[in-house]
Amino acid sequence: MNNQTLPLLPVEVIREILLRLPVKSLLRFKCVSKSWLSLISDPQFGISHYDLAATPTHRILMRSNDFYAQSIDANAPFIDREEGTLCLLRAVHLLLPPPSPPRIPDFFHFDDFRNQPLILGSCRGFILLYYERGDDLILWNPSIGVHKQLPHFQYDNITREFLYGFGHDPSKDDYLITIIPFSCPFSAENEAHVFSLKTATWNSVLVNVPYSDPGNCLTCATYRESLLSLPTVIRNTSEDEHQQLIRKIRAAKLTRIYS
Amino acid sequence: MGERGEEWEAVMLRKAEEEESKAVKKVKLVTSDGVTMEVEISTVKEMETIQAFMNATDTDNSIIFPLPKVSSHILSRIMELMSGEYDQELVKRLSHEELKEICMVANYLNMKTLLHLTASAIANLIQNKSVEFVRHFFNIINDFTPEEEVQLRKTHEWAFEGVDED
Repeated sequence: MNNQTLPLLPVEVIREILLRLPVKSLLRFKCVSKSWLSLISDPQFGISHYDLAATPTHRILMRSNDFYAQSIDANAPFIDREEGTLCLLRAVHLLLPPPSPPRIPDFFHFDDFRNQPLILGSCRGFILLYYERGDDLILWNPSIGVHKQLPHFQYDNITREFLYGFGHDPSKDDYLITIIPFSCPFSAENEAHVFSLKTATWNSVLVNVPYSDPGNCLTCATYRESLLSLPTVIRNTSEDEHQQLIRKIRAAKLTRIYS
Repeated sequence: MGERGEEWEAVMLRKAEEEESKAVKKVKLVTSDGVTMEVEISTVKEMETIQAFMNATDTDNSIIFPLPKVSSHILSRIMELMSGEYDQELVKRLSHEELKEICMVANYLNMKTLLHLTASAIANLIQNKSVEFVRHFFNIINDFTPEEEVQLRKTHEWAFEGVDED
């Protein structure tokens, strides 16, 4: 290749090319040079890359033990025809974000099944994990390995069974997490706890829940690879925004939130 | 006289405009190697950088637009792609150097379709390639220390699996 005659491609052309690459290639190409590293790590680049959606790739995430989750390309065949092996052997092992240490240390800590996270959902490349032991809710982007633990919310009546939802509000670029713990005995009206990532606060609102069974929590989910980092937290939002959020939740039909 | 005269004037004006637009159907592009290429005005419409210049200046019969960053070889390749309606097969026949240069010119002349097409073709080409291949392809000098690079590779180890041979 004769590279002597051609001047270096300007950064905006490089950006156009990189925007059209899948996440896996981009993570590898962070090593090309310092300018490529900063270009690919830029949060705005992550958003443009997600919005352009030139090469969306989906992966299946499975919890394997306390420390790792397995991730496989959703488009790859499950059985390798030539080798006759299960593609699970080619799964990528990703280190799970750690839970907070147990509040009451106990002897059987490492054997405790509750130390394994439940996968509550996925949205825009983020996985919502729940560690039962410490009531830890953790938002995690397995593609780029960033995570954030959400602040604990205060229950009135402690219950391990809850309905949950996890979604993105494009009008505010905010991620919302809804948890509705089931009261015992069953009542139609329950308190919904809604967490807004942007304001980093929990809000509560009474909602009618037309279900008596929260269903099963998952140990497996699909997610779309993304470079998205967590949006900046704006802590001092006005009371107005909280009220707006609560109105929105009241107005939304639960069947839509949890479908 | 009054009304009829105005009507007459309007007809003449329209005629003059039509003739002018007929006359300016070609634009002369002067490439970096001094070649003048005459192109249709419709071709220039896609070159938004030139189009913006033409909109800003009064069009007359002799529009000459210098392209000091574009060689005649690359410009004729671009014309081929445009007349072939951006056929993928034509793109596949381009050399790596041509592809990079056309992508750069597409960005410089703000040709959206051509930029998308060539940027996608390059992305496709490097997608499964190694870091070393990409550095060579874009003529990029590695400015990481060996320690920094090892550390970066460790962060996303899985991204280095299943890469094509260079």
